[in-house]
Amino acid sequence: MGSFGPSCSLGRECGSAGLKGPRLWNYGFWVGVLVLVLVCLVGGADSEVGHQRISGSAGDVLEDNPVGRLKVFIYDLPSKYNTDWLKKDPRCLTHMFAVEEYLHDFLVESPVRTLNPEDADWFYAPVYTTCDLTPNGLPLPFKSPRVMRSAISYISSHWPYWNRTEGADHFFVVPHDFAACFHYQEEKAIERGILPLLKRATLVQTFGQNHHVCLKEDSIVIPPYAPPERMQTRLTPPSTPRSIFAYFRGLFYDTGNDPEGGYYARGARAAIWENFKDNPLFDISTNHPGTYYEDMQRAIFCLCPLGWAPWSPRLVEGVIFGCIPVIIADDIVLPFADAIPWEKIGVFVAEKDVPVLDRILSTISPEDVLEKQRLLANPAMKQAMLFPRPAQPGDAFHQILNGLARKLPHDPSIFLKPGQSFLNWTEGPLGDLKPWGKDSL
Amino acid sequence: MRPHGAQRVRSKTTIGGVLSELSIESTQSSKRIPVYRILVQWAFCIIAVVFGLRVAQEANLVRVNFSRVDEASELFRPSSNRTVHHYEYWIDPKNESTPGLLGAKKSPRVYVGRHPILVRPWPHPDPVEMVHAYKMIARVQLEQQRLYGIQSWKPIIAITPMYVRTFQSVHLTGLLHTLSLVRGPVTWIVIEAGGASAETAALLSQARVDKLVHLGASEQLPQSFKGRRILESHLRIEGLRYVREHNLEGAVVFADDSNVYSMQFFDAAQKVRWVGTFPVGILGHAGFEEPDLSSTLDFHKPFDLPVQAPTCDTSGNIKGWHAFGSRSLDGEFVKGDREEETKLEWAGFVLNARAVWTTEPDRPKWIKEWIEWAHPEDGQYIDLRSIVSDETKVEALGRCGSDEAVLVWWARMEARSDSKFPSRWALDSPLEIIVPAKRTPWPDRIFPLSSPPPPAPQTTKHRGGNRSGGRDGKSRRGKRRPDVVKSRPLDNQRESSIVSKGMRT
Repeated sequence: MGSFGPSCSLGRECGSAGLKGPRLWNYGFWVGVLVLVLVCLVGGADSEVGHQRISGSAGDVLEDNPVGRLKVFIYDLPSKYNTDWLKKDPRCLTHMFAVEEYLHDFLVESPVRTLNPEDADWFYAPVYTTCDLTPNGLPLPFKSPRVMRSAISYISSHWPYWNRTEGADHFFVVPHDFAACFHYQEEKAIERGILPLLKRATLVQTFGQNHHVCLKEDSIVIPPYAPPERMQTRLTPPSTPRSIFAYFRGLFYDTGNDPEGGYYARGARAAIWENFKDNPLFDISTNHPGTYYEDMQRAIFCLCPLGWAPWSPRLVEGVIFGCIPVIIADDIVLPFADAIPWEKIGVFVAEKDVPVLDRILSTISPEDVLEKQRLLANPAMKQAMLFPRPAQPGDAFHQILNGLARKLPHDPSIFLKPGQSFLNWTEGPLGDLKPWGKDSL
Repeated sequence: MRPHGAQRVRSKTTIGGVLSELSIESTQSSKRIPVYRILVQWAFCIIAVVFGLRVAQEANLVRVNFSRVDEASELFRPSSNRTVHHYEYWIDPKNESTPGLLGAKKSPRVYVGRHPILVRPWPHPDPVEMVHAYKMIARVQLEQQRLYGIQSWKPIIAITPMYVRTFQSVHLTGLLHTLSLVRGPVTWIVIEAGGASAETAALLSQARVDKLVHLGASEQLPQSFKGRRILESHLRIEGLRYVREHNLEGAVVFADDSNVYSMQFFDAAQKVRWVGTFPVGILGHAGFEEPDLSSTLDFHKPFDLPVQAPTCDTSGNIKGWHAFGSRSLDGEFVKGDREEETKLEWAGFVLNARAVWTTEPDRPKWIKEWIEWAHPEDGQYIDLRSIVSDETKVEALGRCGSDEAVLVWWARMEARSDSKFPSRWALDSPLEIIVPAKRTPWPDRIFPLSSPPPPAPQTTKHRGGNRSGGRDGKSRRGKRRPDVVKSRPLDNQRESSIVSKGMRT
C-alpha cells in the first residue's frame, strides 16, 4: 500500500490513508447491500400473489376465549321487539337467519354479560328484524327499518348510553340478505343504504361484499345459521373414498324472478350449467337428493357460487363435511375473515373465469388439495362455523365475541363532546320515519 | 492503469471500482473529499439499485399476474391447437348494466344488473384436464386410505364355484376386475364343475391376484336350479378343503361369479373375527315381474328391497335372519318352497380361514369341527350357518338394520347354454337369422305376448339422483322420463341365441 499523503480529512487514521478510500467504499458497498436486501424483502412481500389481509392463522385466534376480555350489557327491551315476533311465528328459530334469536339467548346466559351498564364495553339491543315471515317462510324487510328506529329511540330515551356515543359502542345483529340496508333486492338495498341511525354502530351480519354500500368497514361477517345437529347426525366414516370431483345442488336459473337469465347470480350459475352440464367431473343438478350431506362428504370440491346475495350456507356445509369450497363470488367477504385464512382453505374463482373452471380445479396440485383438506379437518375450523346450542367453546358465538373483543379498547373519540352530533334522526326515506309499535306488529 | 506509484485498486468496471479510482485520485490530488460528492454518489448508487430492482419486480408482477388473471389467453394458447379463443357472449337485448346504482363508493368492479352468461366456444370435457382430475382423485383417495383406512390388511381368500357357460365371461370379467382391485393380497380359489377347462383358464389368466388356484370337480352341473344350488355349496366346501389343507391365512369371501361387489365390502370383511355376516341383495328375477310372484312376495316386509340380512337386537347381536328365497327363472321355488327359502346364500358370510384349519387352538368351541358340518356326500344343500353351533355368535359386519347400505348383490342371470356370447364388443355383421335354441339348461318359459308389458321399474342411479329433472338446469318439476327396462326375458333369450354363421367369434 502506498501512501497518499500525510493529511486526510475524512477520518482520523491517516497512516493508512490509502485504505480510506476503499474502506469507505467498503462501507458504501455494505450499505448498498443492506438497502438491496431491505428492498428485496419489502418488494418481495408485495409481489407475492394472493396475499390478503389475514393476520391470524386458523388456530391462533380461533381458540381465544372471550370471557374476561369484554363485557356486554343487554338492554331490556319490551317484548314487542323480540319475543312477540317469535310467538307470532316460531319458524324464526329454524330458518337461515335464526342467529339473531340464538345470539340473544347465548348472551343472556354468557359470563360476558354484565348487569351494570357502567361497566360494559359493548351494548346489545335484541331486536328481531328478520322475523316477519311470509307464509312461505321468507322474511319481509319492509317493517324492519321502522322497528329498528323505534328500538333505537326507545334505547336513547330510556338509557343514556346511546346518546353518549351515538351508538359507537353498540352492536346489532342484522343477518338478512343485505344486512342493514333492509331489502332483499340488491338495487333497492343499495338505494336505501345502511340505516342512517346505525352508521356508527357495529353490525353483525351475514352479508359481506367489498366496495358495497351495505357492508360497513368494521362489520363482523358471520356464517349463516345451519342447524348443527342435522349435519352432525349425517356424518359418514372418513374412510369413505371421495370420488366426486366437484359437487353442486341448487338453482342455475331462477325462472320465477329472472326469466331471461343474466340477473340471477350475475350469470355465474348459468355459466356453470352451460359449460359443465355434460362434464362427468361435475356432479351438478337442481334436484334435492336425500343424500345431499352424504354426497358432499364424497366430494372433493363443493361449488359455492353466489345467488341473489353472495353468501351461501354451502360454505358452512362444505367446511363441516370436509369438502373444499370453491367460492365464485367477486369481492365477497367471508365470515371471520380476520381469524380464518380463507385463501388457504378454499379456492377463489373469479366470475369471469367460470368457463375454465375445470381447468382451474384440475390444475391445482394434489399437495395443495391435501393441505386444504388438512386445514378443513381441523376441528376448530368446523366449530367456528356452527351455532350449537348450548354454546361450545370455539363456536361461532365465541368468534363473534372475539371479534368484538378485538375491537377493544374503544377509541376515546367515540364519546361525544357536548354539542357534537353525528346522527341525523330525520335522514332516510320518508316511509321509515313513521313510528312503529304502538298498535300492531 | 495509472502510471503513478499509487496504490492500484483492482479496477473492474464497477461503479465502486471507478469511484474508488476517482476517490483515490481525489485523495491524491486534493486533501479533502467533498462530502457532497460522496453523498451524491451514494444516492445515485442506491437509487440505481432500487430502481433496477423495482423494474425487475414490475416485470415479475406482470408475468405472474398474467398467468393468473389472463388465464384464458395463456391457457389456450400453447397447449391446444384451437386457435381463436374468446368467450362467446350471450348478449341480452335489454339494457345490459346500470353501473350508476352503486352510489358514492369506490369504483365498483362488480355491478348490479344483467350480466352476460359466459360460455366457452366448446363447452365439453377436455381429456387432458380429466386425466389431471383423476390423478388428483386417486391421490386424495390414497391419502384417505393412509389416514383413515384399515392399517393391517388381512389377505382375502375368494372361493368361487364356476362352470362353463355363455355368460361366463360376462360375469367372470366383473369379478376378476373386482378382485384385482382389492388392496392387499388376494388368493382366488376357483372350483369348476365339470373339470378345469381351458376356457376358464384363459379367462382366469387375466386376473391380477397374488395366487390363483383352479380346481376342477368331476360332477357336471345339473339342470335344475335347485340342484345347481346344492352342487355349488359342495364346490365351496371343496374350496374350503383346499384352505384347510394348505393352511391359508386370511378372510374367506364366497364370491360367486355373478355377484356385484362394492369395494367397501372388502374393507368391512377385514373386521371379521371368526364368522361374520352381511346384508346381501338378492336379485334373482332377471328384471321381470310375473303376476304369480307378487302374491308370494308378501312376507318380504319390512324390506322394500330383496335383501338377505341378519336382524339384530338393540345391542347389535344377531337374533335372527331375514331370508330371501332365491327366485329363479324356473318355477320350482316360486311356488312357495319355504324350506328352500330358509337356506341362506353363502355370499353373505365371511369366515376367518382359521375356522376351518385342521388344528387351531384358538378356535372357539362354538365353531364345529370340519367333519361335523362339511359333508357334501349327503347331497343336501349345506348352509354355512351349520359351521357354528350357536348362531348368536356370528358377527354382523355390515351394521345390521334394514336401511344400511348393501355392499354385495347376488344375481343370477344366465343365457341358454347353446347360445353364443360374442367375444368382442362390436358385431361386424348384423344378426341375420334368429332361431330359438333347442337345448337349454333352464326350462322354457313362454310368456303369452298378449299380456301387457311388465311395469317398468324405476332404476335409481347411485350418484346425484335423477338428472333428467334438471336436464337443462331449469327447475321444472314433473318432467321425468322413467327409465324403461330394456330386457324382457323372451327377447333377451331370443337375441342371445344366434346362428354361428354370420357372426365372427
